[in-house]
Amino acid sequence: MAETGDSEMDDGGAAVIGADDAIVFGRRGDGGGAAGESSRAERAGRFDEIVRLHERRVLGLARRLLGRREDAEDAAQESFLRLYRAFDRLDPGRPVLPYLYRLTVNVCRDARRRGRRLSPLAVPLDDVPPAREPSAEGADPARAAGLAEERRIAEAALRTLPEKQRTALVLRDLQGLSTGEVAEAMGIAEVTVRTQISRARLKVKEFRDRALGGVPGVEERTS
Amino acid sequence: MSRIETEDPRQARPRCSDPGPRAGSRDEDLALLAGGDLPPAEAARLEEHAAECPACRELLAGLRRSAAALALLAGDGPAADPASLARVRDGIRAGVARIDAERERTAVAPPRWALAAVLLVALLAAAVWLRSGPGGEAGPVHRPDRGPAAGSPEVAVAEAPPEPTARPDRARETGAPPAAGGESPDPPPTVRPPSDRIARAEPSTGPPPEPAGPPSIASQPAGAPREARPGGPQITIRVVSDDPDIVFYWLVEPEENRDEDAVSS
Repeated sequence: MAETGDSEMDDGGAAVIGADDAIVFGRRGDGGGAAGESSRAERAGRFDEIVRLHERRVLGLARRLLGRREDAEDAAQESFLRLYRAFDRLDPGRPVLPYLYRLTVNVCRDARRRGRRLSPLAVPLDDVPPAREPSAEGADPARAAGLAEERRIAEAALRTLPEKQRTALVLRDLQGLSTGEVAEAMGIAEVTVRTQISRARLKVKEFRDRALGGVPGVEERTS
Repeated sequence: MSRIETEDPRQARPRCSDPGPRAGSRDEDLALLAGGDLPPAEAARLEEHAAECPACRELLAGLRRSAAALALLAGDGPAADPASLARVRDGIRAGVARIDAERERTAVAPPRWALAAVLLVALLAAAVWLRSGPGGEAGPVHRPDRGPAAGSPEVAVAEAPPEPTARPDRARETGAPPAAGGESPDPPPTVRPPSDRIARAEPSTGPPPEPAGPPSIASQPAGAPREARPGGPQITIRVVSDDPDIVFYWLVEPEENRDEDAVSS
């Protein structure tokens, strides 16, 4: 897939709609499948459904890539609006989520180029999400604190990564996309994605080792 | 004096006995293995190697712990804030309304060039009508209701041109003498007045028919029947400018044909 700037439709204009979007666009051949044939009210209704289905993922991705809540909200809005502008060209036979991811990646890249850089290592404590094991949190506060610390370190590690490595790692390990879907979202080759995520994982591991003090080989010499 | 040296973790750990074809390739393969991104056969080979290589076994274990920590961040994460989602939805709603309004404005309004072309055609038609006068004595452009005489060279407009027309400035400067007094135009029953054609002309949206440069004079056979006239044939000169939407038509009375021929060659 060719690398594009602000134009997300250069791949032939065929963005996709996945299984979870089938209820939005209906079946093919039923007269209501092609988004381009719908009235404005129908289009608005279908678009609202897509927003409802994917707003959390898109906002979560933007937050991971940009860091600040305000920047992420702006990026998520812009991603959906770009989707709306291209709505009539969507192919009802293909999933829309990878296309949405690509829009979000491009919007976040544009935002960074405008100077909205990802904030450095500092992660505000109130931005750290609650532990994923609420039962453990109630039963074992020490474990909960340990998990919270792990999350904070992981967040900080992500922010030290170069842009492409962070994007690839977030899409693969946090958003759960396959390497092929990551390649489509980023507009790069799949082999490049594998290189980016492998290097990103190594750096995250090294950062975590330093943060936890478990770095082997630290020596003190006297002379 | 004491020195504290902090080494790169990769340099400090035991080294792999089979690091791979290039520096760091074994480490990258282990990172892919930790995330489940290696093909099954390749993953099995690497697992077997790690079982026998302390360095790779240690790195793989560290990568898997790191992957588990990253898994704590998986999902929507901090985006699950309802207030944040509400702000995003409000922004999307406002943006959609703005886009729809822009689309409606674009769909209703005619292109600007079309409006400009229609206005230009109307002005030219008015100018031609005013210059022609009641007796045909004013200027080189006369009422377009004359036909050429039989047997005379005939330069006329072909089928009604789609482009709007305008009088050529060069033609105005020739200072052609007025027609002889007492001669009145005969209304041609079959020739459509070029001024009407000019008024009804529509702008062209296609590529320019001729490259930019000095205006050209098109000589085409007449597309409409013309009656024989005693004063000689009327000559219509079509001048195409570098703008395809602007074409000048110069209508010449029979007495001035010889002068125009000398000037316009």
